[in-house]
Amino acid sequence: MKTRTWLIATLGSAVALAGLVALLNFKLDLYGMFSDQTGQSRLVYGDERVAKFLLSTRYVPTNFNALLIGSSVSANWNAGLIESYRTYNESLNGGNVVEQAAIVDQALERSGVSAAVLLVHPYFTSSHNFETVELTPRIKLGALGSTSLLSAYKNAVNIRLGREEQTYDRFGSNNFATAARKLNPRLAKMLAADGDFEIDAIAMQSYFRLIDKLHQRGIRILFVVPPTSTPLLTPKLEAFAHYQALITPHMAAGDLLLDLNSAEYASLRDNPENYTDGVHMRPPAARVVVAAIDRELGKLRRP
Amino acid sequence: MLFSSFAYLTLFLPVVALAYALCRRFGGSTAGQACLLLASVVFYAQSGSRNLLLLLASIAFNWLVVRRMVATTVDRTRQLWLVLGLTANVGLLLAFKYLNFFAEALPLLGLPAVALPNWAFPLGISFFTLTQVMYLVDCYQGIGTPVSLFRHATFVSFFPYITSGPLVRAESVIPQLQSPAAGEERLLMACQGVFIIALGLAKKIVLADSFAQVADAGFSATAALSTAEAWIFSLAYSLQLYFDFSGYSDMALGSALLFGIRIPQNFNAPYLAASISEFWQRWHISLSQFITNYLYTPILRTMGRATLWTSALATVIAMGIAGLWHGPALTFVVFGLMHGVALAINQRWRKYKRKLPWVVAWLITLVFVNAAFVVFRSPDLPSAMHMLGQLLPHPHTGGMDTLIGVLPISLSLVLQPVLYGTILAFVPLTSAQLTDRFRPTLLNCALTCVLLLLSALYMNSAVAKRFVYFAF
Repeated sequence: MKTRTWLIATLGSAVALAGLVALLNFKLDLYGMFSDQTGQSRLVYGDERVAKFLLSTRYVPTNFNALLIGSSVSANWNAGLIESYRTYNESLNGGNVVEQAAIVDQALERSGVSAAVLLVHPYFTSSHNFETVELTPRIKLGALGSTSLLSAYKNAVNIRLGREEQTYDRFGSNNFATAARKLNPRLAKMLAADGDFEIDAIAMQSYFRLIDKLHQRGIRILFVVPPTSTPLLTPKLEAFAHYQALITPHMAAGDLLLDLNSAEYASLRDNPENYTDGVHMRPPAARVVVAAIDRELGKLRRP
Repeated sequence: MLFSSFAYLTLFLPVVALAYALCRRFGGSTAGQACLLLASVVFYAQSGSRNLLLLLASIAFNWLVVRRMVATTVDRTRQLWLVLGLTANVGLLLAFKYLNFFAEALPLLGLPAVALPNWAFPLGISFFTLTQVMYLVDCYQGIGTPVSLFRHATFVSFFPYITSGPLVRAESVIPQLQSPAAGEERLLMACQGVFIIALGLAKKIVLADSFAQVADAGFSATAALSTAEAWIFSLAYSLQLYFDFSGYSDMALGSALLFGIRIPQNFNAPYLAASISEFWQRWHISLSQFITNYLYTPILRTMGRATLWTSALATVIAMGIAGLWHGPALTFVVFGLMHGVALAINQRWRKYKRKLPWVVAWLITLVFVNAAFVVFRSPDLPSAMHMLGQLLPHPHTGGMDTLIGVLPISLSLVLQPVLYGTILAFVPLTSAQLTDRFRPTLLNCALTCVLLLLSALYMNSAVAKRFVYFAF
């Protein structure tokens, strides 16, 4: 091959290949970013954070009018059972409020969302680091070709071939394993320590900013304190109360608080069978929680 | 502007290459040079106008000093100009990199603390200062020839190497600026350039940044590592540094080749070295040559007679200075001193003419280099000592709790490059050899396209990390 031919062929092929990959991904549109999403059904594939971030650019605001914002504690709450609002579960496994705020920002770029269910749990504000990738608007370019997209395709193909299980539904809820397991070390440490919960100042500021942003958009918030199993809750009752007291002053008129650690839900918390590890709930118990959320969200609708 | 950014690869480099080709075609080599100078100024200006002013002042000053130095035949005057030039260059480095470091050390010596302004040091200051130190000394010794301000400025500011090297001597670049390759040879160089840029980009984006994820995670959670984890994290950093810097050097080489200019290779399979002296002949080669010619030799000369002991002392001092050159931190000084002592021991060992089996020598070298890089990577000496302690066998030998806890959830994206990179780092075939053997074949076309596409996918997945050596 002549050098001139090689140079032109190589640079031309590289550009053509890159263009082809981008065009293919544009057409496949795994995250529903490049086409009208009305009535569409999209699932999470690959990295959960990247997927929910990208799904929130168009699919979520087009098809849902409420967001469930939280961590793994709320990740398996079946948002599809909520009838008062079409709710998308944005919760992330091991997620913190900084990551969630980045995702919610995407969903709020388009109009459509009018209510939010916001988790009130110390784990959610215990760190401010991005666990996998930094969720910035630059990630949107990745929808045209990136390694995370490659792993999403791999995941999708494996699910199609029955090699992997799809644990997410079109409402973003993650039906993860229900077998009993040990509490993750961070949560275990948090719940075992004496005194109040350790709070990451940056995460807490991000939490307050998120509340302000939702309010500024006219979005009403249902604050939800998730039920913690009685053996874990009892020694930390005061710490939970102190934590809650930090947040309630930020509630606006019209917002609601659903405290699932209150006496009314004692039977839910007393039964160890309701939990896989004392914090994360099994599906039947999660359904009880979702029903309670649905009831409260219904009240948000009323002026 | 990072070499591994879309802005550089898809806009800056193609536009400059095209403009240069047009300038050369219609205006000759002087117009081509003017194009390169302008491109370098635009490239460097991205780091801030204050930095650009400093670079231009440094270029003008050094050029003027050399002009005055060679204008006289009186030895004493020539020496004075040299001393003035060297002092000013060292002073510039001191002012921007080391003043606060030394000021902070004053209370340790029982002297009153002095508060100094903390200037952010300009990008590439260590590199363009050393390049001009070499120019000054070479011209003083009659090895180099003074050139016009235009040529000097083009040579010093040449964008492929201004930010992180390789350190080049004027004699190796200026003749190429004056009469660059032409015709078929130039086209072949351009092909080689594209090929080695693809190799370097993949090294940096796919391999180095994957190793960085493991190393960064590990070095941020060193509290209770098992021995195995300490080795995994430290080796990950050693490999990150290699792929990062050699990837950068490949891209610098490739960028220069696009303009028909060959700059020296900076790496030659360093992790295959079977002694510390061999390691420094393979690692950051241009810096090693600078240390030998412009630090070690002058220091040895000032000591009078060259004996094994004076040579060892000169080595330790030169390497200590080279360590400090990396930045104002004790960890860098200790890193340099460690290598200095190891080189001195190596010199002594060679006197005995006893040869270790290659595998044993290689393993000792690798273990030492890895340990020295732990010091290099650590934020301070106590942390370095702690990490080094973790490398030694201790009761908690084989656990992987920290590794599992700190690694990113998207493991598969990191593990494959890490696996391939670990193998590639120990393959004797280097990018420079591949480029030398390069032929414009279909296979090389396909390989280049695949590497570029793969790199683009990785680049598009996360914001590219800065090159490690941008910090020095």
